[in-house]
Amino acid sequence: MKRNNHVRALAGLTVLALVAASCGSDSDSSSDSVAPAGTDAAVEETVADTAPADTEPAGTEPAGTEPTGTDAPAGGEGFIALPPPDGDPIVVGMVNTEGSPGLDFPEISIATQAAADFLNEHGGMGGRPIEMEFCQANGAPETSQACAQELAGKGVELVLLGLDLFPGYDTFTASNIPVTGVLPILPGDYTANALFLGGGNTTTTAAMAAFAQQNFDATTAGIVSADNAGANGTEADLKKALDKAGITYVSIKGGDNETDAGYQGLMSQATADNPDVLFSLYADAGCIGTMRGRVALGIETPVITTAICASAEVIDEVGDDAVGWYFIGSQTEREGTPEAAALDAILESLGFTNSTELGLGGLGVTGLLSLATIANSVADGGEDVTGASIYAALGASDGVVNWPDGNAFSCGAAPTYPTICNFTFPIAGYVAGTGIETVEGFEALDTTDFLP
Amino acid sequence: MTDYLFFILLGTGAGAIIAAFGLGLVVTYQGSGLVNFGYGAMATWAGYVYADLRQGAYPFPIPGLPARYHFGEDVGIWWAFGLALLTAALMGLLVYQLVFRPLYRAPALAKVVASIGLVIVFTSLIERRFEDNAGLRVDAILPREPVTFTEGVTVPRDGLWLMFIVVLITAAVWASSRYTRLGLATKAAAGNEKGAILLGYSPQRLAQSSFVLASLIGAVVVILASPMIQLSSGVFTFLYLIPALGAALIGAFTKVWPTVITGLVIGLVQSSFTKMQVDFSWFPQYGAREGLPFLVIIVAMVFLGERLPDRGSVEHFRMPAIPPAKVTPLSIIVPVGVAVVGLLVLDPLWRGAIMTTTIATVLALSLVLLSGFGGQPSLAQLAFAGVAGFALSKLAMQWDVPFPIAPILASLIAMVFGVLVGIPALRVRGTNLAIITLAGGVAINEFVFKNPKYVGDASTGGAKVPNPRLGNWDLGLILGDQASRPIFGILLVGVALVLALAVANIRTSASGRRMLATRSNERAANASGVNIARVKLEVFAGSAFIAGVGGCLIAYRFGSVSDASFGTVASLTALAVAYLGGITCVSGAVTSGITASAGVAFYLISNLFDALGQWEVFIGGLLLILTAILNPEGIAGGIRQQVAAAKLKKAKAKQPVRTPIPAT
Repeated sequence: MKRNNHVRALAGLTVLALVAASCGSDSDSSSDSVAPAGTDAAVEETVADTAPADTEPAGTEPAGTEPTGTDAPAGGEGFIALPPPDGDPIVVGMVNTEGSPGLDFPEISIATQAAADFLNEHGGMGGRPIEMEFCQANGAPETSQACAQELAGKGVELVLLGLDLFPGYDTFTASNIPVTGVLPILPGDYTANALFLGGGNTTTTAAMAAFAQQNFDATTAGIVSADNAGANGTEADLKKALDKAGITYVSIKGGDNETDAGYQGLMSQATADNPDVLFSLYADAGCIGTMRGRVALGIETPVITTAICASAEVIDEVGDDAVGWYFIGSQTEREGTPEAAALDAILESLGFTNSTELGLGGLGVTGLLSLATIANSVADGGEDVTGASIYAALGASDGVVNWPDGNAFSCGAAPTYPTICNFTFPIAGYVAGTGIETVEGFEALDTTDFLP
Repeated sequence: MTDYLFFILLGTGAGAIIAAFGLGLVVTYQGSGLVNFGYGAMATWAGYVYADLRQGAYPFPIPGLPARYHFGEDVGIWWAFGLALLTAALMGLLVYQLVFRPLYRAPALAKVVASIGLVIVFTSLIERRFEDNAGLRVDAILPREPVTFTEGVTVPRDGLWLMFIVVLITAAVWASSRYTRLGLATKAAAGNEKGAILLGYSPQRLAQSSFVLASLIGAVVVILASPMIQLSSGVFTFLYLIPALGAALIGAFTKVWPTVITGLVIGLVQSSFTKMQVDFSWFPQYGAREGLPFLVIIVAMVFLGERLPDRGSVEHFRMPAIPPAKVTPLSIIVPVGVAVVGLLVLDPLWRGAIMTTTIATVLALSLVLLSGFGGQPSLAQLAFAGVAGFALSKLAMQWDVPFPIAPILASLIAMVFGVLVGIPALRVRGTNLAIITLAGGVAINEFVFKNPKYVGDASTGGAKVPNPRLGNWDLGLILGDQASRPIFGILLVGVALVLALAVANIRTSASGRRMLATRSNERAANASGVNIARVKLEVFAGSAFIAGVGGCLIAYRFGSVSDASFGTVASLTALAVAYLGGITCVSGAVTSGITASAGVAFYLISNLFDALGQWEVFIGGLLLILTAILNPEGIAGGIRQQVAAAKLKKAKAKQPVRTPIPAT
C-alpha cells in the first residue's frame, strides 16, 4: 500500500485499510474464525471468554443491521455467474486525488476501472454496462469543485467518490447527481447530501469503545494519538464514545512522526496508570513504532487500533510484536467463495496476487461492486436501474447488502450521521505465527449505541 | 524527576536531527547569505538514495532516464553510505550552480521562491521514483540496544549516538570556521563580501562550498536517523526543518553552537511534553508540541532583536523595485471587463478558473501591501486567511451574523492575528522576520487549526459557511439547481476591485509614502519623523485584513472551511506565486492571480500539463525555479523592463543622427 503521511495528517484517514482488509474475506467467517491465541496470556483469556450473549450491545438495534448474508454470498452465485450486460450504459463518475506530492492515489482509479471492466463481463450494474468517467483533483477545493462541474457537464448518472478531500456536494446536488462514497473523510462528509457505504472514523471509534467494553470489560483506558487536525477530531470522537461506554481515559498526544524512542515515551505515559486497555490512533509508521515500543517496555495491556495497522506492510515489519493488538474492521481472509472468485479475477487483471496489493484501490473495488450489488437488487425488483434508483435503494436500505460481506445497509440508522449506511465492523486480533484472525463473537459488531 | 529524565533522554534522536538541520542552515547562510527552504527536501533525497542502495538500486532523478540502476543486491552499508554522500555533495554543488548562483544578485525573496521550487521538485521526485514504497524503513545503522541510566530510565542507545555524532560534526564545523583558511574566508565574506573579494576569495566559490558541506551534513543525519523514523517525503522536508529554522534563528544564522544547542533543546523539550501534558492542567490540549517552541522563539526574538538595522542589512534583504503608481480607466476597465464577460459567457470550468484567479489576486494584494510597499516579508498569509475563514463560519453559522458584517468582522479578527505576528517586526527584519512570520503561521496552525473546538468535527459537519445574502438577494455560487452562478464571480471581482483600488490608493497616499520610506531606509525614515513601529504594524494589520477577506471569499466559494487549505506550505506557495507575478504593484497581483494554481493560465495550459502526466508537479517546480531566475523581480517587473527597453530603443531610433564634424 502506498504510504502517505500528509493526507492522513490532513484527514485522519485511520480506517482506510479496512476496505483492503475486507477484500477477499468470507461472509461466513463467523463459523470459521479463530480466536487469537497469541503469547499474551491476558489477552488470550479475554478473547476466549467472550460469550455471544455479552457481545450484544444494549439498546434497540436499528432495523436492517442484522447481517443477512452470512450464509449466502452477496450476489447469490456471485458476479462470476452473470452474463455480460446488454442494456444502455450507465455513466458513473469518480473524483479522485492524484498527481500532487503527498496526495497521489492513482491506484483507486486503476482498481475502480478494473472492477468496472470485470462487471462489464459479469452483469454490469443491473444489466447496464458501466462507463467510468474519472476526474483528477489535486487536494485543493478548487479542483474538486471543477471536477464536480466537469462530471456534471458529462452527464454522469451517479458519483462514486474516490479519495476526494473536498467533494463538490453542492454542485452535484444542483446538477441532480446522486453522490456515494465508501468512507467519509472530513467532518463535512458526515452531514453532506451523499451516502457512504462505510462508516469512517466516527463509527470506527464507536466500535473501539464497544469492543473495549464488551470484550475486555474495560473501565479505564489510555489513548495515544498524533496531534494533527484529523487525529484530534478522531480522538474527540473516541472520547465521546468512551464516555458512552462508561470508560474513563487518559489521552496522550504525540507528534505526527515520532522516532521509535518517541513512541516508547507515548506508550509508557499512556500505561502509567495501568489502564485496562489502550487505544492507538496512529497509522503507518506510528503502528510500527507503537507496537515495537509496547514490546520494548514490556507492556501487556491489550491495544485496540484501526485496520490500517493490520496491513501486510506493518505486520511484515513487526511480526509477533503485534500480539495483543486488535484491529477494528479487519477479519480473517478466506478463499473459495463467489466474492473471492470475483476479487481474484479483478486482481488477476491488475497483475496482483494478493488483495493487500490493492491498497487504497480496495476503496474503488468494494465501492463499485457494492453499488452493482444494489443495482442488481433494483433490477430484480423490476425497477429501472438508474443512478437515482440505485441511490434511492441504498438510502431506503430495504434489504440491500454490501459487497463482499453481505451485511445489510442501514442508512440513517443514526440520525446524527445521515450519510452513513454501515454501522457494523468485524474485529480481528493478531495471532502469533498465524496472522490476523477474526475475534469470535465480533464478526459484525454494531456501533450505533456508542456513536457520539 | 526520574520520569522527566526518561522522557528527555527519549528526545535525543529528534533533537539531534533538528540540531543538525539547524547547523546545515547556518552553514548555508554563512557561505551564501540565503535561507534554503529546500534543505530538508535535499537531505531527504540523499536518505532515499541510501535506502534504495541498501535494496540494490540507485535511483536516477531525471525524467526520461531509466528509474534506477539495479545492482542486483544490497551494496552494503559502506558503499551505500559513500554513494549517498557523493550524491548529496553533487546535489549541493548543482543546486548552487544551477539555481542560486544565477540569483546571486537577485532580491532575497527571489531566492526564497527558488528554494520553494526546490521543495516541490524534490518531494515530487521522491513520489515518482518511490511511488510504491515512499514510506521506507532501513535497517539499523547505529547501535540500538537499550542503555540504563538509573532505575526506570532505560532508553534506546541510537538517539544518544546520533546526538554524539551531531555534536562531533558541530565541533568540526566550528573548528574549521575558526582555524582553517576556508572557514575564515567564509566568515570574512559573510561579514564583508567586498573585503573577501579584495583578498582574492570568490564569494561564489565559498557559497558553493557551503552548499556542499551543508548538503553532506543533512545527508549524514537523515541516513543515520532513517532507521529510527520512517522515511517519507514530508518528515525531513518540513517536520524537522521548521523547528531547525527556529534554532538557526536563535543562532542568528551565524553561530553554530547556539543553533545546535537550541535544536537539541527543542527536541528534548518536545519529548518531555509527553509527560507534561498529563502533569500540568494548564498545558494546552492541542498544538503544544509544535506550537509552544515557536511561541517561545518569537517572544525571544522580540527581546533579542535589534531595533534598527545594521548598515547594509536593508540592502541584504533587497526588495524588487517599485514602479510609479498609475491608475487609469483602462487599467480598471480591461481586467474587470474581461473577467465579468468571461464569467457571463464562458462555461462553469472557465468560470471556476476566473474565480480562482480573482481570489488569488486578493491574497496577492495582501502581500503587495505588506512586502511590496511595506518591505516586510510574511510566510503566514494563508494562516491569516484561515483564521478569517473559520471565524466567518462561527459568526455566520452559530451567531447568525449576516453578510457583509460577518466577513468584515472575520477579517478584522484576522487583522488582530496579523498585528500579533507583526509585533516582532518592530525589532527584527529581513530573513529573520520571514522565519518569525513562518513561526507565527505555524503557531496559528497548531493552536487554532488543530483544535476541533474552532474547526469543527464530525458532529458539526466541520466548519460550514452559508451563501452570502443581501436581504433576499442570494449571491452564492450555488443556488437551487444552478451549480455555477456568475453573480458570485461578479461579487468576487467587485471585492477584488475595491481592494485593488484601496491598495493602489495607499501607494500614492501619505501612508504609502511613509511605508516606502520605511522600506527604503529605516534610519532615514526614522530621522525624518516617520513612526516606524506604527507603519510596520499598519502594514501587517492591513495586509492580514486583506488576506482575511481572501479567506472569507474561499469559504463562501466552497461553502465550508478546512485547515488543509491554509497550511504552512500553502503560505509559502502563496508568497512564491505573488512574488513571481510582481509583488510591488497591483498589476503584479493580478498577474500572480492569473498564474496561480487552478487559475486562468493554469487552466489554459492544462492540456499541456496532462501530456506531462505524472511529472507535472516536478516540471511545475522546475518552471517555478526557472521563472524566478529569468524574472528575479517578478513577471510584471520583467514585462515592465522590456517595455521600458523597447521605448528607449524607439526613442533612440527617433533621435536625429549627428554627423561628426570632420577634422580640419
